[in-house]
Amino acid sequence: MACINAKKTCWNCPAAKFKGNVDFTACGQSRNIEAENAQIMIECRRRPGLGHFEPTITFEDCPEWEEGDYGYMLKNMKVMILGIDGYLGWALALKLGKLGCKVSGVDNYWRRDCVAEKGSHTVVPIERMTDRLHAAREVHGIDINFRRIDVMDRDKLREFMDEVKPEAIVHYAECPSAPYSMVDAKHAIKVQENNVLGTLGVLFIMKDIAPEASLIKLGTMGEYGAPLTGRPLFEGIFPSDAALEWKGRKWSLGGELTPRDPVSFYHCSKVQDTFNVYEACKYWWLRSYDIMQGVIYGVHTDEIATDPRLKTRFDMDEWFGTVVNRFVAQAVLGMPLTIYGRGEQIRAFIALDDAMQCMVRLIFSPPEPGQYDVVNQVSGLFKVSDIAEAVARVGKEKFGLEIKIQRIENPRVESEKHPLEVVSKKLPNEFGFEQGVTLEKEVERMFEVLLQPEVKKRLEEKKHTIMPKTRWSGMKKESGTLEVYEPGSKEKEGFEGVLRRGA
Amino acid sequence: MEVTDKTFKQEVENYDWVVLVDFWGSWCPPCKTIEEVIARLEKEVDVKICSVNVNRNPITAKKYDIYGVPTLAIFRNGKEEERSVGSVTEGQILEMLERANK
Repeated sequence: MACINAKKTCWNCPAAKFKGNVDFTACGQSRNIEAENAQIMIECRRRPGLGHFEPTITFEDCPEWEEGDYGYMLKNMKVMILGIDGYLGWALALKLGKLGCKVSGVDNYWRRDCVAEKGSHTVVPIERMTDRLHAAREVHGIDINFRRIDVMDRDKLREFMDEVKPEAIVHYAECPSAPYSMVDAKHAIKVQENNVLGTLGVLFIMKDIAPEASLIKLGTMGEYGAPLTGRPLFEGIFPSDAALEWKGRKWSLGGELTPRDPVSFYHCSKVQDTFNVYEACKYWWLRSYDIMQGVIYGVHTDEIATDPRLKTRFDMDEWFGTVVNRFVAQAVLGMPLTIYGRGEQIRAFIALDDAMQCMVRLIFSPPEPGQYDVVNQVSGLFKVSDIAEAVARVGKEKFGLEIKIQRIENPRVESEKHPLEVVSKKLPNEFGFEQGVTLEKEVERMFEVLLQPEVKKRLEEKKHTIMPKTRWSGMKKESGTLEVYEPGSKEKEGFEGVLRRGA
Repeated sequence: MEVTDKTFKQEVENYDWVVLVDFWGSWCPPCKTIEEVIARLEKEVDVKICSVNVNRNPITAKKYDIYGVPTLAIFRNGKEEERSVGSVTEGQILEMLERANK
């Protein structure tokens, strides 16, 4: 499993620079038939002594790629993280740094500002960036090249990218909150402007500065929605045997983008990104993995756990807290865990540590020139009410907490009872991803962190930001309680999620 | 099997019976999905199947005027006999092979 990318070649390698005769129109479904008759040649940025050659050297035969824990890994790979100060960005920076990557990153601290604007804070205290960078150097020996840049500032970003010449770009510099995008027009527009136009700018800069770098772009499983028909959520693209039948005629859908059904203006921004990235790959031979990530949760990676100054942020407010993180925060505060509506919503999830593993694997196994691919980055499907039960169970059994569950009016417009079938085959089968942590294990770690007196005090201070007040309808009103119940007192009903991971 | 500009003549044009040729592109999600079907058919049917990446093998792509991908073409005794442009289902490929083997 370790050498899953051994047979990839220069064709996939960001160090390979194409020398002339690249028929850019060939990436579209049309070809420029006037293209010159000659072999495609490359030169290697890392081994210029090889001159011009056909891109056929495999990773296992190339001295620049070394075998490691995640398959073959490009030595000192230059990875730029956009949004390096965030929950995911910081954790990934440390992981990549420890693996020997030359990590660079930008951030404008928008996430810190948004959470502050909403009157909340990260309950796990985090350092200022200068202190984080210092601690990373002191504890892990990692030098991170950081610039305070807003991705909307294209001139500055272009300049920095030109200086670094990244070999992979991880794009986390987006607002990740559905409720924040539903507050009012100002918030919706700001989210779409940053996410959609920011990404569009990144694509144009990559075209000019780093066309050989792969773009690992964060999307969300929420792009697909939850179809009531139970139609499987394929990995972004229909498989070869999918077909459209209409009035006795039949067409293959193989390779076409699957339907998207976003459920907030934030999710709409991610869907627009999907199309923009897909087109950029087609027009300019950029290469990208678009990641449909499940709802993220957790506090742990080996690197952030080493030193208190290296912690990543942890939000539990109604705008930036994700559901599992919020439930654990509520349990620690002695509040009933708040389920929206029926609680029969099924979602795909992944723990922070597993998501970071997936990212590393994707970075070291780059797509081909022009390749746009989608992965569903998911490790389990859970019903919201079952997550509440699991958090209550772990809280009681391991920490002696008495926890109740309450159903409240759903502030969102979403189906509250639906089937869900998710296909997530590529990461385990093509990239070697193996799930490392269960929901229960990570919830236990979260309790350990959140029960620390300093963290618990910070939770208490911002308790009032937990209950949802942002309704999709636009009405500003706290959701009323529908029912309070004891964990374990409900009969199981409704649908069960189906996760397809097999080959 | 993967065929290149260098080997196309030998593997396809000089071959004495039916060959199914899959012309595909690096940017082309439908091509990626057809790749799976082709891999399966290679094991299951008794017909020679060749794949040509049009981005890496521009000479062959130009010679046969591959104006869109995926293009599936049937060659018989080195001559192109039928082609289908755009994504197709496994059933449609099998129908092509049935016609070719008659």
